[in-house]
Amino acid sequence: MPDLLFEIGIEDMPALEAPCLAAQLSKGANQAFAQQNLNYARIEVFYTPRRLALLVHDLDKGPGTTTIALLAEILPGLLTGLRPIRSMRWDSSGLTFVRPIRWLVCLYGDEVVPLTMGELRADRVTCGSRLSGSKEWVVLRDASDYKATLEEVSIIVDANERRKRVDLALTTATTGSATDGMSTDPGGECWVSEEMLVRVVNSVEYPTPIVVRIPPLVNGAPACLDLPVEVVQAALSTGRIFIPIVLPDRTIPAFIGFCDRPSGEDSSGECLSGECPSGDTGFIHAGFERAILARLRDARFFFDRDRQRPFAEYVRKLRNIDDAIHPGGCRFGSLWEKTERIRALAAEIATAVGETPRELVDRAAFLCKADLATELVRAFPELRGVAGGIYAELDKEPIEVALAIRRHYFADTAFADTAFADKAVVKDRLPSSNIAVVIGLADMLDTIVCAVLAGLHPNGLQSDDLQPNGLQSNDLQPNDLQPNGLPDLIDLAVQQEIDLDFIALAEQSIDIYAPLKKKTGPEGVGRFLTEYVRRALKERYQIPAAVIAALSATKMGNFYRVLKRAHALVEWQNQPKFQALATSFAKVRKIIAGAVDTAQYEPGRFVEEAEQGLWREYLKADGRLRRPLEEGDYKGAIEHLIPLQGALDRYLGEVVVTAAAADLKRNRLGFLRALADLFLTVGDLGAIVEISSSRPPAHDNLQGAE
Amino acid sequence: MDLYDIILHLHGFWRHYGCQLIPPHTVETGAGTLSPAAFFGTLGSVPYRVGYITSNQRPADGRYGKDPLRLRLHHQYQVVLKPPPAEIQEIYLSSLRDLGLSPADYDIGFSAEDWVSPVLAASGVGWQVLLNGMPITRFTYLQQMGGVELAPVSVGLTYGLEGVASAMQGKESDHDLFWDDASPCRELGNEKERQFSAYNFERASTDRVLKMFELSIEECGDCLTAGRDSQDRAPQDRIPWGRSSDSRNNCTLFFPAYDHALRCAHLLDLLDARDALSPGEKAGFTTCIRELIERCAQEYLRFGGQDA
Repeated sequence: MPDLLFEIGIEDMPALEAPCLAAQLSKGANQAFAQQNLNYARIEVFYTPRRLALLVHDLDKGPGTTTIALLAEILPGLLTGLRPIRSMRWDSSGLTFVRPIRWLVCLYGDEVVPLTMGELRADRVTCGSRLSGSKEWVVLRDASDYKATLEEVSIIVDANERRKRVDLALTTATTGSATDGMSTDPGGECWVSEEMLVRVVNSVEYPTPIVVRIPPLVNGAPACLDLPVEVVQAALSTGRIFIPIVLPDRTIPAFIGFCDRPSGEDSSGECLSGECPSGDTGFIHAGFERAILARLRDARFFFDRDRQRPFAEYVRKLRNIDDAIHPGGCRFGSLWEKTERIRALAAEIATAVGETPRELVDRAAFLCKADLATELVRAFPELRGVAGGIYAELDKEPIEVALAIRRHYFADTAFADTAFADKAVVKDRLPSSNIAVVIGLADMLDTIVCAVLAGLHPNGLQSDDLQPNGLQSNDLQPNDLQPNGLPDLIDLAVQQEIDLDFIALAEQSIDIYAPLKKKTGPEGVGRFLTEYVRRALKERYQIPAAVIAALSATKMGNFYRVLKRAHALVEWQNQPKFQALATSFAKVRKIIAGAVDTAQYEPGRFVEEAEQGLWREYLKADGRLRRPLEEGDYKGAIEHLIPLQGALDRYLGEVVVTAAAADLKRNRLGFLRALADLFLTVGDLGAIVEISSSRPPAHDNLQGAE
Repeated sequence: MDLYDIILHLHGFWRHYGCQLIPPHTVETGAGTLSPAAFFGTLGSVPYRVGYITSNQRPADGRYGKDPLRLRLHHQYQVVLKPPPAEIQEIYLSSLRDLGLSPADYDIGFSAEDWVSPVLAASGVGWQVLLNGMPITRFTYLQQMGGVELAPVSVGLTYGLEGVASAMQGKESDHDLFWDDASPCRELGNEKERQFSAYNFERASTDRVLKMFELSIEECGDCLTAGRDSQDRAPQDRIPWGRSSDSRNNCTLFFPAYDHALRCAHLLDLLDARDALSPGEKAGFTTCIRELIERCAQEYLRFGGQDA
């Protein structure tokens, strides 16, 4: 059966966007073909900066000749259904896309599918490489020839294959396994993040590595290779990316850049030697060297200027820098004010974290944002934190302080070594520190409180003051508080086992926010944080809605404990003896609901035996629970509640609470309140059985949870 | 090729593509796209092609003539094409080939970069064009100008002349570039760079510059207010050629208004270099200029959108 090829020719797409659009295209095709009952063997998507292609293998011919007409009808919809991050217009056709679309190829087998979009008509002619400077048209005979025909004209349409070539070049440059005298640096390591690799792979149609060796002196001028490696890497990671090879002693013998053309020597993507450039790439090699030197000199300029004054002096400059985290441009005062607030919050948080000498915490908090006033960070924002750490160390600040500054944006070690290395430019293998955790938590808490006070609200939570300037919604997107993939306040508190009620801390510290223009009061902060943690439990920690409801009856500001309680409840929730206890407890809650606030009672006034029995069991449980609660062992705590079942059921069966005489009733309610408080240290068990029995909760913002 | 050759080649090339070649505008600007030719030219639907040189002044970029790559004064060659031809990328590459920069010898990459100008209420989508990894041109599909969604869109090509020249001359420093056969830029501009850096960073009187800013804002606003009263017109009436029965005399004066707005933008840059503004003030001033510029765009379109 014939294959289907649909190629969209585009003026150079942003490198990070091509893979996303390709995935959308594949998904869209899958759905569209299923709707039309078109069968096929498999779908492949190919892309380079200049093309996005769908290759459908063995597409069913279907009855008669209608397939072609059908394809002409559905394929344009696939293209217009793609959603780039930002679309643009380029002519009067009304089409919008990530960049202008300049040609279309659509072949079903060897037949052209006659589709049109805007001013374009699909044909069998695609555009070859740009090396000649003008468009080279390439005629495709059959859809199945696509990959091979383009490879003949030096275009590798398969991104995986380009990736393999890039990976091979990086390995060759550092393993010393090259056989034909190519430059290698055994023991070296290519400092490159996953994101940068994706950008390298998707910014060329045919990657050919060029190794550029830079001597310490170029034309008598220093090549600035003595800059910290992180700075070198940041300077070379914009535009054309140059990947530094770093030796164990942190020297950089060479850089690898990729140009877009087949290598002069062969077509296998082998490394070209820097010392003996082939005729084809000699110009480029020289140009790359100049580009690297120029960017290093630029970085050196910023670095030297920053070093002209002590790092601590930059704190003062923070007065002139706005603290704005939201694209809507909400202002939260200056970064200097933020620094002061972080100092106050960090001092409180440090009490809940071990090994955090007060003066070191305060010094780190004082300096943590100072690098945002430096030229280096203004030029390379990804160096925030890292630059501060470097400058602090050079200024002989205590090493713990330097480390904390460096790490406070991503204070968890495990995370920094894996996920972070993929997201950010800087490799960071330094250990985490407790001070970094404290500063990180203070920073994140402050950001959230500011966001709330400025009138932002988490998605879906109602707010009275939306869109003040009509420009954008004030919905707080998850990325506004912390970039995707980085741990947020809750993650960090949980990972680091911080036993602290952050909501209480925020509410107590509300005075430090007095100078800000506020759109909500302190009660809004508690509401927001509660909703924030409920959302996190549901979305990131996959906690069932019934368990979240059980937790919501109590304070949720101690994120570490909330999650422990959640896990204990998840483990217990399906066990019959737990469910029986929970059902009984639900009855207790119903009796005391709205009737009593204080847990005051006199044991001497218990008249019935069931009453006294439950009281004795209660006292025992109360004693037994103390230790597991202290240690955060909520599974064990529930274990100790289970024995209450018998006495509780007997009480509920025999003792009349509401119909009793007034003082007797008050005493009984007071006791039940005390009993309930004991249960609530774990959670409102009743909520679990109520929701599990599938009655929708009255006020639940988490609909759709399991 | 020296800088002057490059300019002559670009002039010749774009003239061939139907661009009107106009002399540089005389108000200080920080980029070629601020020039009224680009601003008014991209508005409205009348086809428009233009090419011109600009001298750009960015007070904060001054380095007393000591930095090899950062200069207060640098030069751009700006091309605006409305509507852009479908093969504009190839035409652009031909212009490079015309300079001797062939894709066969040089690595030419289009690195995605969006363009935003808060002062102009303008934005566009496009690339930084890299020649062997060095930026030489900003290539932008302008989508919005003066707060107006452009239809048709225009392409703006901004060649950084120092960048192109240093790629061609293989110089490490912009000061070593040759303006023409005989003169390295160092000789032509170094003392100027030093003096302007000293003025911009140290000497400019912030009070007086602020007054100049406020005066320009007022003057700009006045130009945008239609029809003045008779007293205001009196001096004009004394000059015979100043009198006109043309009804246009009553319309707002958006061309002079725009020049005043540009002046404000430059003075704002100067105050910023002088470190004389709090962030709030800077944002407020920017908004103030942007609002005036948006009104210039609206008045221009009301007037018919011709005659840029």
